Amino acid sequence: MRRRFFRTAVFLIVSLFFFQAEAGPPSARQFMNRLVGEIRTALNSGNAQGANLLFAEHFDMTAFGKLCLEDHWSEFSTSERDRYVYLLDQVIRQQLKNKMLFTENDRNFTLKTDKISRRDGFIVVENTLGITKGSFKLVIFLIKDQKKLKIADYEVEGALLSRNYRGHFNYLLRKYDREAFLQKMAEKLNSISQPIAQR
Amino acid sequence: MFKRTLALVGLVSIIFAGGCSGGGGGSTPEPTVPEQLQTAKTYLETGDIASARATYSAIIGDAAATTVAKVIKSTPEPENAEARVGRALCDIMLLIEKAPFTAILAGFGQPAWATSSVFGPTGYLYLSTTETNPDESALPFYNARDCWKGATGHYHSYRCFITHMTSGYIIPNIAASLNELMTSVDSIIADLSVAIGTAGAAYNIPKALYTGDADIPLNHADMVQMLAGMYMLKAASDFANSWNFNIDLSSLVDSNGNSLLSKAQVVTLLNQQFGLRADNRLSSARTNLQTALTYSLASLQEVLAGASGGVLNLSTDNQSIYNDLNSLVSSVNNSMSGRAALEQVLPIVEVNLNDFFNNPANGDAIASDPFVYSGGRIVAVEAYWQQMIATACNYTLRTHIKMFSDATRAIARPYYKLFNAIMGHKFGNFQAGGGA
Repeated sequence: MRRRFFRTAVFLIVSLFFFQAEAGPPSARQFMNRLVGEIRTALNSGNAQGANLLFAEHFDMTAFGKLCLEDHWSEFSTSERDRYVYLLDQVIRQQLKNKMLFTENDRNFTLKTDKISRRDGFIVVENTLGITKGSFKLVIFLIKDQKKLKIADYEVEGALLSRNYRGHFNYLLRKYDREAFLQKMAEKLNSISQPIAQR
Repeated sequence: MFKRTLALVGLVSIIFAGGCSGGGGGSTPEPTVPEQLQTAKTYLETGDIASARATYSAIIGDAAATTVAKVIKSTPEPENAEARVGRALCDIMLLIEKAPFTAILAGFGQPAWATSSVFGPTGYLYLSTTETNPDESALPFYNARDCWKGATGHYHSYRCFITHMTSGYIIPNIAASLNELMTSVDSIIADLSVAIGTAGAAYNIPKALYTGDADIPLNHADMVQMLAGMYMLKAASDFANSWNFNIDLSSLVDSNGNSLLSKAQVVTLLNQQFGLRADNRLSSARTNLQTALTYSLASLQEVLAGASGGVLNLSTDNQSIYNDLNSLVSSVNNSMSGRAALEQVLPIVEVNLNDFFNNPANGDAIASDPFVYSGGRIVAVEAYWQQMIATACNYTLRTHIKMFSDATRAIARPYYKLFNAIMGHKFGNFQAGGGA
């Protein structure tokens, strides 16, 4: 009798543990499902650029911009921050459109969410992305913005997007003042700007 | 840790040390060459490396021989392989007494070092077999012993090396001294180059030199590999003299090994480095690296063809490692003239040292910092480093994790098996492959 009770207790504890580990924050999983659905729709309609731009659509650019400018954020005035976030948003859209993951051959892509956890204020969603270029470890960092989840950053095969922008921005801000830095961003935007296809 | 350092010193010296077994010094007015070779080995057995060197020089016919009155010989033999290898080995050991090496030690706050503190009747290797706590005070970094031990038993490891730095001593100072030291390396190269001209060249390093339990036999393949090593050392010195790394080492840790700078400050320092020097030595590095790879391949192929009787010997448990190493060195060698797939690393990574030397990486020309301080850690900025090595290989963010894990596995392979012939040998109280 005592042994059966013990077994039942162990079963419940283990079940509870696995239930929690498997489930994760349900909203993050829903977010990922929706993102995958939107990307698939864009790819199925032959719009690879649109599929890539979905990452930008779901970005919280202020949060991402702050991460990229972590070492200098406090030095920027509100208006400078606004200009910076706007320019960064536009640059990111162009970059994503041209250099992101999906091509028109990726209609049958797979994205398997391996783990969801919380770290440093982010919901960290670890995925395995399968596209024609190969299999990638894609980690998406989500934050809550007015009760919605948004992408604050992402990492491909260990390379964090914000870290690479941060290295670049730190270099520029050591070399130029803030105004010249923003001017450089505007110049960069002009040099890479092309019409963005409709999703 | 200190003993481990000593063991390393002993091992390194032993691998290169020269000499042979034998009795007393020849004292006849005109000793024969075999007698002189025996005399040189006798000097080595007693740890008198300078006299051994002078004796070998006498056989070769160099003017330096006159410093050893007893071994003057009327007919020199400049091509004598044993004398050439013997002198090269003596010179390798004597590198630690050269002025540039002493300057480096002084920069680290260490006194000059003498070979007698390691070899011979007063040397640490001998004393380690006769005393429980042999005197270590004549060895470098003895003054860092408190750091090694740690006040609370905590070890600071590598930081202890820089606990007594001379203020203002920067890495370019080390690089400059290394460059000066290469003059001595050139004479080692000259001797080994003559020695390998004798197809069956052989040499026995006497066990008495390092208070060991067996002599170390060297064959032709070993000598060729040593020659490759000397050229590699020159290439390394050239590389060290090619990029800026102007960090005052004394500013990093205190005398107990504790950090003087925060990690964020270290990042600021690091982000000012890696610019290509205008006086870089990459042209020389290319020549030396190419020569090193050529000799290394020649040696490996000798071993794979069945060379025996030396330190590098083929056996059933190391044949695959020799084959893999041969493929790896071969692919790096091929990349000196164009793109070549790096063996042992998957997915395929192509190396192109030809492009690397034609368009050398220059950190100053990259519009990014190499590091950021994040989450309490110093983290590399991938885009910067990808650009730094962009001409050298086709490394991409896609492959880097797999590449590094494969490379780590390749490095972690049991390469000690290449040295099966000396595994288990004792050097003083230390055993190769087995510790003290």
